[in-house]
Amino acid sequence: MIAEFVLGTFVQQGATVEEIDWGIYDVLGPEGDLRRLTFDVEVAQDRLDCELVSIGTPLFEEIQQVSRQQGKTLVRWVPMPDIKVPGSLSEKVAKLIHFVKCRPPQVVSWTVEEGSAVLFRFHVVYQMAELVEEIVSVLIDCGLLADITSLLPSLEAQWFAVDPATDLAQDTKQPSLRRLQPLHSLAESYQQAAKVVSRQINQRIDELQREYHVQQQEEQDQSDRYYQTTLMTLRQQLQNAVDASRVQRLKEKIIATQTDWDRRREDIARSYNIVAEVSLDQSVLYLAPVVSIEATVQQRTDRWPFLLFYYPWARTWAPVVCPSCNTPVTKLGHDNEGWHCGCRE
Amino acid sequence: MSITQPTENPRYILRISRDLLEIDVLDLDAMHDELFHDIPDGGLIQMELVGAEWGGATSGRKSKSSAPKDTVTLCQIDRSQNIMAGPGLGAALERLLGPTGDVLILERGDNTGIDRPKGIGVRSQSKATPGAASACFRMYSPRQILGTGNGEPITASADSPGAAIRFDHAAAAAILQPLANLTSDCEHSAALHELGLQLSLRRGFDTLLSLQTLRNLSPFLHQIRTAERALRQMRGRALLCDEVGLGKTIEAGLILNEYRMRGLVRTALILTPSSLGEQWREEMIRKFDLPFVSHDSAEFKSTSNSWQTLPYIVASLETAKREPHRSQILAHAYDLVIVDEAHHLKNRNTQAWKFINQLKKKYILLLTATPVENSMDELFNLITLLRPGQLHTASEYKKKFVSHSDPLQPKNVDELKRLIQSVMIRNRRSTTGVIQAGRTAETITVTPSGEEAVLYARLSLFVKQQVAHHATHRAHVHPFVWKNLLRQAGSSGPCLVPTLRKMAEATGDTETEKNALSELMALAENGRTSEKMRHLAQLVAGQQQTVVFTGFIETQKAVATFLRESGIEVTEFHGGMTRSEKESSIERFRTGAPVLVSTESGGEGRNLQFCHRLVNFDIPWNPMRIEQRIGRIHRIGQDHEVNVYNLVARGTLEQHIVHILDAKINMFQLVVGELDMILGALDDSRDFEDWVWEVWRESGDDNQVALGMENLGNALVHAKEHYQKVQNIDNKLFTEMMADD
Repeated sequence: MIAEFVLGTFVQQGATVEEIDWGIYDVLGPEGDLRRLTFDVEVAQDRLDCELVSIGTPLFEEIQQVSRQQGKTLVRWVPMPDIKVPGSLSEKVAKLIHFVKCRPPQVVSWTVEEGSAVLFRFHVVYQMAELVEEIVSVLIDCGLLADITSLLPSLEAQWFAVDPATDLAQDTKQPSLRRLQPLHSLAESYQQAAKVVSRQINQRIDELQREYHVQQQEEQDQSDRYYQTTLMTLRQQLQNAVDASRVQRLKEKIIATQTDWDRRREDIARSYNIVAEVSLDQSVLYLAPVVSIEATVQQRTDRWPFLLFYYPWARTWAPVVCPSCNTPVTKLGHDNEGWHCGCRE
Repeated sequence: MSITQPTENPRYILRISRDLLEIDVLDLDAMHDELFHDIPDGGLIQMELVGAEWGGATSGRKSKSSAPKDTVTLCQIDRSQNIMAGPGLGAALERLLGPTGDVLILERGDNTGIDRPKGIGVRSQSKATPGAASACFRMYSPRQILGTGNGEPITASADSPGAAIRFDHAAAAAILQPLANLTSDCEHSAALHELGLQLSLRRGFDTLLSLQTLRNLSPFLHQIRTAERALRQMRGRALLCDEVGLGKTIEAGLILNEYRMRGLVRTALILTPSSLGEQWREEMIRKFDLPFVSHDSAEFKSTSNSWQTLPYIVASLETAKREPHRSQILAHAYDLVIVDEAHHLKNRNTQAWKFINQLKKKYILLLTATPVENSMDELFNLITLLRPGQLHTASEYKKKFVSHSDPLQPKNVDELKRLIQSVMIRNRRSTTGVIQAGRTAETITVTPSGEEAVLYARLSLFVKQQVAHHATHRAHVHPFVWKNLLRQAGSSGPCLVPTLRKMAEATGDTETEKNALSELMALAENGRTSEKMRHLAQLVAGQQQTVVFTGFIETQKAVATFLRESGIEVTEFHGGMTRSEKESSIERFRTGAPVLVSTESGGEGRNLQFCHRLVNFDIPWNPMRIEQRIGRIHRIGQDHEVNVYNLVARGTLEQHIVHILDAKINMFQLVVGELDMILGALDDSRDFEDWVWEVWRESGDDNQVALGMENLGNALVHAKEHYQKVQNIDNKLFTEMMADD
């Protein structure tokens, strides 16, 4: 995989690669510079004319820097020319969401729109006594600001790329014109994704802290006991000391011991402290059809419209989101200001 | 934005072809047809381009406002050519698209008619005459819907004390901005990007990253396990107590490298006895590519604020603990501190112990093969440096874990073992499977020819005179130069020639000095062959492969020439060769050349264990260098008993050196690493080499030299005895405590 990555990046940068012997590659750069590489430690030990490339070596780090600057944003289309809308929509809607003190909703119409979802791939680095890194993916529906990460596999199975290198009009077979669903900005979607990923990170940190809590406590207790006892002994000695130089020495020793103790506390705290550094590494915008379903909800003599959404590419309903607090809900009520999940009470 | 109500004006994503924009024409495709389906051929539409400046801006006049202006253009649909045309349309669309964009959002508005254009376009919408224009559209860049901006920072949640989450929002904005324009990188780049990131993800210490980057080193299993344990279980604070020869240096280097590759260590300080500093520096550079700088090097001295500035430093503990260095070092925080020969820290009342205790460090490794020498208190003091309180307080420790009657006898061994195992790692030769072939040594004392003896005697006299009288015009000459001249004399005549010639070119010599130098040069130049060379030729002719070491390149050339002239095939190796020349030379030796003549620097790092015969053509004054030469062939992978031959000329200082090393401490039969321990146990702060020089310098004649060297030999014997005693105690103590390991 390392070879695939390194050689692939070289080729992408315009170099040509030739395997001249088992495990040995000549790479001719676009400016005529030639490098002889190997990815195998044993080959490197026998062939000193080859540069070893592996995780942590300077060339690998360099190549990584190059590839990290590219490929960060993608736009992917989900064509789906034939969309199947489930039948008995009103019944299905009624099961999806309960409108408090209202009659079951009646579906009035539906239309297929162009929806969008953004996949945010966050690079998370947990810093503690060791360093642990992971990639956390969050998929946000830009129309609803809903977390639909669980539907990512369905989406991934259906997209095709927008490749700027090809003739887009012919190759991408842009789907039938679909009206664009009202969207939130990418910034708002990002904020939502950040909240989702923060929840996950906090959970992970809590797990890690629970794992190390006993060890940390033990180390802290041992250290505290050691210094408390040592200081107590020194203070007793100081009380009994008569000789001025001994008194002075003991005082200095007490100060030094206290400083040691403080430093040790800091050491332990730092050693068990966990900080997560999060950066957005890659983002993919999916343009995928969404069925926008308009229903009417009646409460006594009042009637209000309500929009629900269905993802034909996942054959599942979009989460119903409270318009007031943007959280997924299964129940909504209506007041003078509109629909809410109880978040206004 | 409420999404419970459908919007009034529908919006669509449209791909825009740039082909005809320069003539203010937009090529219409099937999508556009669908949008404009109700516009008749020749029909007019009002096109408002939101955020695109009017074409007049290209005249170069600066616009008064920095905000993009909207453009309203009346466009005509031509169905026969499938185009839409309008004055200024092309330029406005170009500006809206930007350099790389190809997608816009089209919004269909109310049908509002406007006046026909009089000139090149209209700037504002006026009251429409119904039916004059078929429809009204607005076009804008996707970023005006998708937009980007920096989010608010996200702080740690209240129920997670001590934790913090830091988002890099600036990096996110940089990624989201092109995405808002619906601009895409290519899938191949994205796949490589993702692959690169996955490969480099550091998933804790489950996998050691550095193993794949060590080109000049194949660590043993016990070394890898030690590194893993120190990293995972001990969190970088460990006492490494392997028996001699098992590679504690490698273990420390692996740990350091793992931290460095994870960005957890950026600064490291190695504290060693002064005699081992250079060895540590070379090993760290050669085996781990870590650019350590020695505190007494030119680079260190020429760097300002060097203790703080240089990231990787090797220093002697003796020097570091004293002012002015002490306060500078204590003021700086190091990520990792490694202390070699940590048994020097066995007493917590010493300056050394207090100094290490006061150092600001994240991680610390203490290395010693003998954590206990005289008393169990020593173990307590070492472990307290790593984790105060681990073995309780000093009095509690003594009461609970040390026998009253014998300070070396542990009590409550199981509990003590449990406590020390969380900070201490000890590997034994018997359990690591590190097996080595034995070795024999023979010293061949050669009687020099008359001329050789004269050369050595006269050179010795010359040096002594120069040093003793401290000749004013050579007062600036470093003692090292005289020492080296004497060593060269012990190597070969040709070796002396360049140095003598240089001295002869210097001004200020008296007539006597000039004559002496000329005579010496003549003797040296005549001595192209020597008795040692003749013995060497006999030693190697018709034998199995032999590597011949010498400390000087001039000697190397002379020896190689002599052997060739004697009909023996020789291959050479020295530091001045190019990489491919070195490779070829080793390859020729490996594939059958009978003799390799090598200098020390050329041999470093090379493994020659396919050969098992070694000749020391000359004797370095530092016994560790002899050990290192032998180490090129006497190492893991050597299947035969190693035969070492030492060629010394009678009457030289080298003869004395070999005598005390061989006869007094049986150096050539020691286990690898034991010589190191014995030299470390010498009760003297001087280097062995310096000690030899002092003996020679202060001796009036050869008898006095012999006496001085005898004293040095006795000191070595004493050091060896002490080392053996400590080994016995150690074995006894740790056999009991580590029996289950």
